[in-house]
Amino acid sequence: MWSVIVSYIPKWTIWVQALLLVLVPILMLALTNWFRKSINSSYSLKPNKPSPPEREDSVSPQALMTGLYDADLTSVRKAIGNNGDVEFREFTIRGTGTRAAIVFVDGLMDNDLMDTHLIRPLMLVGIPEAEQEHFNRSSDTIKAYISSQMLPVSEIKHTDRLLELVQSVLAGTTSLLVDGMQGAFLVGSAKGKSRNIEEPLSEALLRGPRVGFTERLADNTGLLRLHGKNESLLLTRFEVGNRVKKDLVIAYMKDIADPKLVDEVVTRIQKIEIDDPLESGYIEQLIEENVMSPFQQVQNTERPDRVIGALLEGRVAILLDGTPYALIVPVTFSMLLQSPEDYYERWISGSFVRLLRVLSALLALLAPALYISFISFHPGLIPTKLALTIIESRQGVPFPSLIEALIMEVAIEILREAGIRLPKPIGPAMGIVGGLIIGDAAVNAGIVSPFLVIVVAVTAISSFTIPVYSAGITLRVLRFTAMFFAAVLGLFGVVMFFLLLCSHLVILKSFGVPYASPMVPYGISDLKDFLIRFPLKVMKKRPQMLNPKDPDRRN
Amino acid sequence: MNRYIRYASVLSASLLLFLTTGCWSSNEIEDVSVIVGLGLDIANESRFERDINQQGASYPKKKVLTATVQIVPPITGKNEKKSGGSSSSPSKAYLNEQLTGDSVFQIFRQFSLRRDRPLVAHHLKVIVVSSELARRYSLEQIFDFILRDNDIRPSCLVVVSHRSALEALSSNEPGEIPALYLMGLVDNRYRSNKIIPPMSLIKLDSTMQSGESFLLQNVVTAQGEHKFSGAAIFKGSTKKWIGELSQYDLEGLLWVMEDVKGGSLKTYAPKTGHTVTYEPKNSHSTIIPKVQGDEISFHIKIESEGRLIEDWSFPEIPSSGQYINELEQQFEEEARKQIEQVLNKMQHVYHVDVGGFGDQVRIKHPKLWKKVKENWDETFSHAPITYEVKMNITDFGSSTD
Repeated sequence: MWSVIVSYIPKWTIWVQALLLVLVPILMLALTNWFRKSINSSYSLKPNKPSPPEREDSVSPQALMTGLYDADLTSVRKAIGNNGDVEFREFTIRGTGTRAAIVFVDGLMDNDLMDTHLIRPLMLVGIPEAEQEHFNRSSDTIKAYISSQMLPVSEIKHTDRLLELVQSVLAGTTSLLVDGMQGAFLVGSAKGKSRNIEEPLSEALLRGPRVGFTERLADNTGLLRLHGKNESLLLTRFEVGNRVKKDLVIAYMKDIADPKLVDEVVTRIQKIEIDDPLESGYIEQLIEENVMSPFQQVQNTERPDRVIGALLEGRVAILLDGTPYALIVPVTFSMLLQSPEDYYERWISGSFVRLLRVLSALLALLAPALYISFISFHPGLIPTKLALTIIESRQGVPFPSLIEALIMEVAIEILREAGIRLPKPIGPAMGIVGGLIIGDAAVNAGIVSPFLVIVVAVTAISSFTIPVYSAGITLRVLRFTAMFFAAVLGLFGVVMFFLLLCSHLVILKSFGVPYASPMVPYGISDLKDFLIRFPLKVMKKRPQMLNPKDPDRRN
Repeated sequence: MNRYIRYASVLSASLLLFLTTGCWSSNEIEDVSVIVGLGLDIANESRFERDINQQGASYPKKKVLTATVQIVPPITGKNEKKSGGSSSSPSKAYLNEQLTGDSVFQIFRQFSLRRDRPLVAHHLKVIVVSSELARRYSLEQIFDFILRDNDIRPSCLVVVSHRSALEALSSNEPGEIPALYLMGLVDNRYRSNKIIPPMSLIKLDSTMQSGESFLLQNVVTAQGEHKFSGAAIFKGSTKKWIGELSQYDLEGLLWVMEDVKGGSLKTYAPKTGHTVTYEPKNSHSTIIPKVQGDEISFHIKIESEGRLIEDWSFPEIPSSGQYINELEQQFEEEARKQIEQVLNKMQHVYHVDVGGFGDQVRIKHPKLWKKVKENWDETFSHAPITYEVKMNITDFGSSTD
């Protein structure tokens, strides 16, 4: 009876498929919704956010200085709290006997400067007798006299607000309080520790300036000014970070960049809500359009020349204090395969190298996948003699090609990761070990075939040629996806993977500019700088996709 | 929202594609037996087969043909570790397996009982048919499975062996793969006018469909070595082997059929009897069918340019214009002799047209062709053929006289 019924039921796989047909879209929908919600909730601007609870010892922003020397000093002491690195130096101004004090953070300020230009004039030179009457009259005259006659320092400010005083002192400014004077002076003495300007590590060039950004924002903006001497270069300053404030500068050419683009960047920067943007990577991820995409929608670079080049094309650069990485928006896919050197070399060699990079990007993405699909699905597509060699070399390899390729690819990724993290003295040792593992040993041990070693080596070398490091990581990740596609469906799978990838690239946008431009949408003028870099004489227009205010490079 | 639905449907569609697909399972390249050569012989059971038959290991079949598959590389399954290039004994680079039966396909599947790894014919390069088998059975019968099969590429070369096909697929040379060797011989066409244009499966199929008589390259074998020599003639009506053309015939035929690009034409100088040889560099032949009423006749025009490549005359004769003219005529005479001989064989010995004369009639006189095509070979045998040969020596090599 039962068997009769069963025989009328279609095969169970059909039921499973029908179930999946219904369930999978619903599940996907739920998943994507959930993702979207979590993404929105974490970074979006919330108008009615409850303000953080007031701490007891915090200084209220409205608190003013009283003008009474002793009281002010006490309230400053109280506001700064029990901080060992804050120094209070009290002295009397020579000639009048007026008491004064400077407050500063040791280590953040330039002691020499303060000694010679603040302490010395006040303590040693003092006020000549003829002028003393000036000094005793009122708070305003004292203020005017000191700032105009006694402090030979370029940066000087006056404040009445206690909070501002505390914040500036903690940022490296020296504060000067004088008896009988309302408020305090803030004297620019901050001396940021900065390293020398060196060649950027992550983007090495053979030909080109050996200059890279440093961690100090002022240095970086200075570099931009130095390398792009143009009155239209605009550096707009912002502050980001809720708890730890960081300076952020948006740089663009005001007569080139599309105002809409600049507005968009400003809006997105202002929407950033985060405790502390440690590095420009934080900014990058908070302002990009598609969080789920493996492709970066903001380019990062250590090279001022690259930034200047981008600015002149009509892009916008974002510099953050504390990191040598500047961000460039919008970015298109072709930019990730371009190096400044393309433009420094002659156009034929530059174009050749660029084509080479495109080829190697394809190899880095697809070589292991193609290997797997040829070996496992389409042995008939390999030239006969090569097929015979491969068959012989794969004798005794115990794994199917996917596992084999995974072993080697994972091994080489581990090696690379280790190579980055390792302290310098151990580096060469790892190179030897890695070389042995990847090279002969794995083959001799019979784990992988010699042919695969070639494939893996070519893949690894190819992925090193990509000039933007983060784009290289993307390709490395996608390579594994391609391998799985290949292992399941062979060449058909590889083609499907590539189509999916292309369709994703086509819908992706970076700050409103299509990621795949100038290919999709097609911009014939922009193709001059796509795969082949045309002679500079021919490239008379700025990229049209950026909609620049001034479309001509030469007037 | 709309975008997410689209994502979801794309993802689920691709997921379903994975589930519904038929080619889930891969087959690693080292787990298949790649065959590069296939030989078809009249039934001749190997010792192995006789032995197992005595143990009752047989199935109902007639003994019609023996198929030989050439498997490379000959993996024995023992996974011998190779020690660099210097292997101990020069072993064979291929493995010939034979089974007998009356269905080519059944024999192929029968190999599954015999070999641990399935046969794949993607790399099949050469099919050798023995003349003996082709005499008994029509090629259409023998090749039916091969033409239907999807695994076998239509670019596969078909040749006929004078003796058994197994012999043609065997070699004494260590490291040589006979199938690839035969395949490679075809590439020498620019050096010899004794090799007919390669007959691939697809060409064979269309030729057989058209009903024309045709040639297949003939392989002769001795002591494990092979040579292309002449061609086997197949009658269009039966698709059976009816005879062979010799190398000399083939040269004559190729002058008519093809634009010869190489090879040699040797003759003897008129007075002294010394050897002289001509190397055609560029030649052109046209077959012109002439129709008067129902009478068909042909005129063949052959023009060739080439170089005097060898001259044994002693004492040396300077290459004057007159001398060259003499030689040219001599070469023309030689070529004419070759052509006459092959035409004679075609028209009077075998009564077949394998020179493409019918094609020309079909192209130039399509209406007439419809009437004569049924009995073309016979019509052709009685058609008068005239020919003119023009040889031009344009070059004497690097000799300085």
